[in-house]
Amino acid sequence: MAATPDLTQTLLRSRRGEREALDEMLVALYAELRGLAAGYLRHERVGHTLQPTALAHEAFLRLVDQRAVSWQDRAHFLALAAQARRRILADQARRRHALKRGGDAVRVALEDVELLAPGGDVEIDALDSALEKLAALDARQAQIVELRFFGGLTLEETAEVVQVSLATVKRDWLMARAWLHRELAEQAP
Amino acid sequence: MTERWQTVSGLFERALALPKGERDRFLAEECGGDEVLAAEVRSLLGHHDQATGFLEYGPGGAMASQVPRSDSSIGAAIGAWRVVRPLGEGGMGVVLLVERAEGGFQQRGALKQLRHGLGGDQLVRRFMRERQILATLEHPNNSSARSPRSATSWCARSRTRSSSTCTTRSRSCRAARRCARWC
Repeated sequence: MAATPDLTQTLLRSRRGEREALDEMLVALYAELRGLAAGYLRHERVGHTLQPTALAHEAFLRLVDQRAVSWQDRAHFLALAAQARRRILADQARRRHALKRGGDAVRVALEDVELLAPGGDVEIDALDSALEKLAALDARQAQIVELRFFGGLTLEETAEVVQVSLATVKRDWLMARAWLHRELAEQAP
Repeated sequence: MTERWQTVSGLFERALALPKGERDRFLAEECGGDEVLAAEVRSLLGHHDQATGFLEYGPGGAMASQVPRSDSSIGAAIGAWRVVRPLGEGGMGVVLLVERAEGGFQQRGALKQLRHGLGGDQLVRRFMRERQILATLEHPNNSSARSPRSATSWCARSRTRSSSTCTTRSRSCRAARRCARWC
């Protein structure tokens, strides 16, 4: 998909909070991030990065007309990319669980398993649900976790996207992490 | 956001800034007999202590196939760490004595770094898993993993002088002994 004025306009509209534009951006990003990841799997290059921020940046270059956007639009794009990646991973985790339960006619794309499979011990779908609960209590804390965990942003980048101080991000991050740790520990069998 | 949540967050943050020994007294004073509130904050503090490394790397461990250039020169910065001197070298990489000074405290550690070019997905994945294990190991005789930054191929932990730090035979101890070899 080439950078299109349409999608650039959609990004700008979504930043103004237009619901339809937001959905359209998420759908486009969902496809783009998966496509990029799959591409890298097929043409594995030594030393090439597949870190989420790099993927998001590449998607940004491909989808958005750089001359028409500001750094705030880029920050907004990174937030959307983190959200899209969270959806990809949560969907994938649910499909995997469906497979484990013996569901047939469910196919997990190879690139998803290889490239997007969780590296740690965190159950992505449990985390996804816990994050939804956290968002009801504290929307900013949930967004900070989304940006850091799913978007791969540093504390500094997160502060820029959320537009709060670095100290606030650090404080929110510690509280959210402790809360999520408890939430997931209680759910664990 | 409810008022209760704000109260809990505020107390959590202030208690966290205190030495562990003073937290109970602080909560008793601040909560004024509201045992439910005190218990809620204590519970979160407890989970904070267990959450070292939790959510730290992102779900993309397997995606991080980029290996940063090995920079073991004295004084070089790797993440938050500064290299003091090399401690040892093996086929897979190097172990460096590192230190960091930030947030008003100083800390030394051993930092293991994969050799540049050894960036096979499987190797990096194994390395990430090792880091995850280190980050979650809880044993008084085991040095803990020191918050490595997001996905890169190095891992820092406090330095142990001897590898025979385990006296019991739990599973985590065996893992700790395996991991302690490179210090």
